[in-house]
Amino acid sequence: MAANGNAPKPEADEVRGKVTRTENRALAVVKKVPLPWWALIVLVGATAAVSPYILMPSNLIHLVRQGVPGAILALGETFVILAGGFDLSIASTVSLIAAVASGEMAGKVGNIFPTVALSLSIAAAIGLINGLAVTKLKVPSFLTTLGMMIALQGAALVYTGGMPVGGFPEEFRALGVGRLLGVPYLIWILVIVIVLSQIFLKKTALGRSILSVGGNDLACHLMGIRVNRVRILTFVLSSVFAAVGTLLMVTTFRVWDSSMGKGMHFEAITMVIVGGAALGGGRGSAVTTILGWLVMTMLFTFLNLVGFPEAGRFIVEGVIILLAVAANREALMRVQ
Amino acid sequence: MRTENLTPNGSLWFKIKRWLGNNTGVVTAYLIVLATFLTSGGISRDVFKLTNIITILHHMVSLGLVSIGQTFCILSGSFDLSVGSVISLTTLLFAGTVFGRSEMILQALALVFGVGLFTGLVNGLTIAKARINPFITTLATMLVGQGATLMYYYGPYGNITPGIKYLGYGMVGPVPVAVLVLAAFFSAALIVLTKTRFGLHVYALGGGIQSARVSGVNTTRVRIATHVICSFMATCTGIYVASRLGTGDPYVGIDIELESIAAVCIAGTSLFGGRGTLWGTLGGVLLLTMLSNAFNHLNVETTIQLIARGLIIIAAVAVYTMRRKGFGC
Amino acid sequence: MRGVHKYFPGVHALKGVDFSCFKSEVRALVGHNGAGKSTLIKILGGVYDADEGEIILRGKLFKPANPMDATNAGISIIHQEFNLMPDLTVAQNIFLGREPRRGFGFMDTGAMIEGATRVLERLKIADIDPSDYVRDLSVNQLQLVEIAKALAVHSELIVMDEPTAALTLPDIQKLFGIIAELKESGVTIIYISHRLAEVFEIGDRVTAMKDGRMLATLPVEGLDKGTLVETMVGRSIVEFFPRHTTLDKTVEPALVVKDLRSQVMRKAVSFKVQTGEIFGLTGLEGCGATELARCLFGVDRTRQGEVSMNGHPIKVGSPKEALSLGFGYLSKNRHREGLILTAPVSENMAIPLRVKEGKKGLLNQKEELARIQEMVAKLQIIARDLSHEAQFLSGGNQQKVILAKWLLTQCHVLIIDEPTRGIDVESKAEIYKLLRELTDQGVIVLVVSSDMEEVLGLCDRILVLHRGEITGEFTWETASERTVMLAATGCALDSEGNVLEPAPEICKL
Repeated sequence: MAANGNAPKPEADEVRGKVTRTENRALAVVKKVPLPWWALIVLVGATAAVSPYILMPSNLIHLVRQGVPGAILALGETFVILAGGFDLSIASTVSLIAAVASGEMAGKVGNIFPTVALSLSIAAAIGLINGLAVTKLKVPSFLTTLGMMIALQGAALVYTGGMPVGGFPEEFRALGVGRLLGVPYLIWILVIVIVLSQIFLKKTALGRSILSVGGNDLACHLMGIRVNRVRILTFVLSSVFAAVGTLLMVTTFRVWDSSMGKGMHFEAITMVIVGGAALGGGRGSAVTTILGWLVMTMLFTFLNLVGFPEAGRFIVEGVIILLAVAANREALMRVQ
Repeated sequence: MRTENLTPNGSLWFKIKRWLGNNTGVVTAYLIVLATFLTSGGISRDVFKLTNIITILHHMVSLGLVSIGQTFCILSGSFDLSVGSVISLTTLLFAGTVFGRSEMILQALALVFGVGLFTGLVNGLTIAKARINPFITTLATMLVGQGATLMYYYGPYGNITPGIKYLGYGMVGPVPVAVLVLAAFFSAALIVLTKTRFGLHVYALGGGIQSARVSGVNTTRVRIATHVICSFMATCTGIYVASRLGTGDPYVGIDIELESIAAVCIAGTSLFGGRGTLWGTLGGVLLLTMLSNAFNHLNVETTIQLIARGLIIIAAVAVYTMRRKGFGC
Repeated sequence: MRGVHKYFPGVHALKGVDFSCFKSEVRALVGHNGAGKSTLIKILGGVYDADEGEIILRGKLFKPANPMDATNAGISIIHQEFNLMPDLTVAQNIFLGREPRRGFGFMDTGAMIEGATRVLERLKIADIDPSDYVRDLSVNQLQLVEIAKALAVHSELIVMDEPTAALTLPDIQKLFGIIAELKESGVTIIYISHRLAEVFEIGDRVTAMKDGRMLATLPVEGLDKGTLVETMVGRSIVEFFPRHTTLDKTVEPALVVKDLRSQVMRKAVSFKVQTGEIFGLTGLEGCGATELARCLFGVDRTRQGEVSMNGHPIKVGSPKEALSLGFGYLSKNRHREGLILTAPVSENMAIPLRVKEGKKGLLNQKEELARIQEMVAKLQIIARDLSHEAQFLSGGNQQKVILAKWLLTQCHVLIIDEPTRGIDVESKAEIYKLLRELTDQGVIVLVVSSDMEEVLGLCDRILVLHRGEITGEFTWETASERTVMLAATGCALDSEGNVLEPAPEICKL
């Protein structure tokens, strides 16, 4: 020891060094992986611990299939939020489209395609109105979509007179039950939508410009991006996705009823935020939203399993969304 | 801000034009109120009857009380989505604690105001200290509140006393007691906003939080205070609603948060804060109430009413946002 | 103030600054944009916290936790950016945070209006009423209200950060009168300004800062401008800037602007630019150069006038059109208008090119990345990796990224507003070199700058503006600090650089 004065007890130090190195590596991994993934892993683990049967493929598939409409609504909402806005109107869009679909199909097979086309057109029109009001009239999207939500609620009631009208044909509802290669159609459709959305957002100039506009609309304008057009597009996409989600949702129903769509706007926004997107735009993607959807779905499955009261889910939703945003700010503030 | 110099002694016409330009929202709202009143009255004489006026006034009270609180939040650049669940919970806790026994009233009041003020504190602290966006914060409190309510109550619960009922149905001459209460709160709020330092600071917070801080305004305290005020008014609204319903109800507050925000913003108060007045809120509340009333008299179906309501909200806000510079979001 | 250090993400803004002043002194504080002057006084005023170092006020340690502490300690600051509330009245703005009380939290509105009137009278302002709303005031009047704010409180130390930027000449004289009065009554004044003429008029001593460091403090009496400028610059101008070019006047100009005016420009402007020269537009803050640049790029709508490139008339109606015509524009608000701070560097650099090439369908990201990396290497941009968010880069690198994104579009006309504001010395030199290379390659470069040293050193031809009109046009050979400064303050000059009569007093300095 006297000989090597500068290196005290090299052996012990090496061991200590190794431990800290492993610790550091583990910490680095933890820091790199976004929080929602951890939440998901923990939840899956907890669920499995409570009831391993849940993780059987048939149960999982059922779970996922139930959540498909919600996921699609959340994906639509993502576009609007990425560009810095809100779309509160989707809840009523769901109600209206469900009503129109129910009424126009009226149980006949031949009506299916024209009705689908009509539904998507109506949704696109709604999105266009939202977009124009926000960009040209400069009404804040919160208030615009709030107004639309109320108006569309009325529209749905006008169309149906408050009573269930028409009905969904058997062949259409088959879409909800049928499977391809053992996996329900709905899930295939969801996967396609997710993939297309992600590719659009990440790999096309227009898609990327949505994120850019949310990040700094003034700078985008100075670089030649048509900010207003991009924003209008996001609202159109949100409404159209809401229509698609509605059509998929009603395959499990016989006919429209007035509770359809209630609260789905807050649900969608929650999923987008929990997944990591930033309110005010500029951060997020289709994948982060799906992550949020998975976390929320898993969370409620877990709560159901442990017998958490139905009404209590609101409390949990509230706490989760708060934690998610708080955690996100931590992540953003950690300057690497 | 303008780049041209003002003429030193602006002519009266110029000053009027400028005032109009700056207050387009409020003026439009009151014009619509007047127009609606006169038009519906022209079509159905019942509108002008005293009984109808009293009905309108009653409807105004609940929306009005909560909107007064919401005004403080919105002027300071925030807003409160949790008022609805506070109202519902208040009706239940109040009616449930009283349960027809007037000796329990004091206790009931302590309970509901305790809960209300707590909610306001939580909202304010989270927004000011944790710096979480008002949408998320108050959405979370709303969900937690609604959840807690639905966990314990499955339907209407509780009972009030005749003394409490007086609040909701009593009259002082031709004027409902409730309206006097609203007027009292309105006046108090107006004085606070226009004549106190705190009121000025509320506007300052909305006008630019950084600038306010640099000028020495304690932004944290003001933020918390506005949210406490909002929850306080929501609690008061809950007590009034309980006095009207006779009982508590877990679903009574649904949608009122969005309605109160609409009432405040419809008449020129900017959602981003810093500008607007309580008169605007009054105009907004009158407008929404008057619309419903007119529609009812004209036998317009609820469904069409909804459509009109939604579109009018958008149009009324558009009147003063249209000329804003920059991009809408 | 001793040993003050301040760090911002990516920037070491203040590097061990020592600064002190005496009572009843008017101390001028000068330095280029981004030298750290505003940061230093924000620390003094309690807006920022110093990361290291201490402040000693009247012999005692002073650590303001917020602006209120500073105000209570007798320090008043007139910041460069206005901190006014548009929807409150002048009186309310003046007294915000220190409203006169009347029990139970009520404000004494009467006292407020009285106090405001008194201050406005002191400043000899006739056209502002305390009950006017700030949103209805002109920029000139806003500045006066800001000054009134500081004067309304009894302070022992007043800091003025560029107080004359938006003022008219008569108002500037009024302000100087007040400064003299205050000095007489024992108030210390720290005066930050770009305008060296003002420093010489009212300053007792002047301190120069540069790149976050304190350079020197000199007495104003007996000081000549040359020495001051030399002290400020710190190194020979010749080494710092690339060589100038004198062009053959007979060659047709590539860019011709005739009577151009947008809705926010005060007057119509005409000028010509040749390929190969760095063309400068300069003047004092508010001279209209920025508005001219924005009109050229299509940001503000053109009301009248024509622009032609290489003989062909062109119409630039929007930034998108400008981009497709081969224009590029760097705004002076780097953070608000130049970068998407939350987006990766690579994304920031790719956007204009994508817009110009009108990409539909899937992006070829490999190709994009290759081109970006080439440009990064060429411009020597230092970023940890290209997916890092732009907000984490230093000011100099951020500016290079913005420059790079326009270069990627291979623009023919590059308009830059304040090319090196807030940037470190090394990056500055690199950017100047780049601009020179660009003009050698045939790109037309228009530089808008309020930095005299930069304009004189970098530009081959200079156009000086004052209140929207052209007051002087010089080549690098005929321009000097004196002539450019005179033109910038509104003194018309003849071709010899002599002041044309009639000229306001300030031109005779």
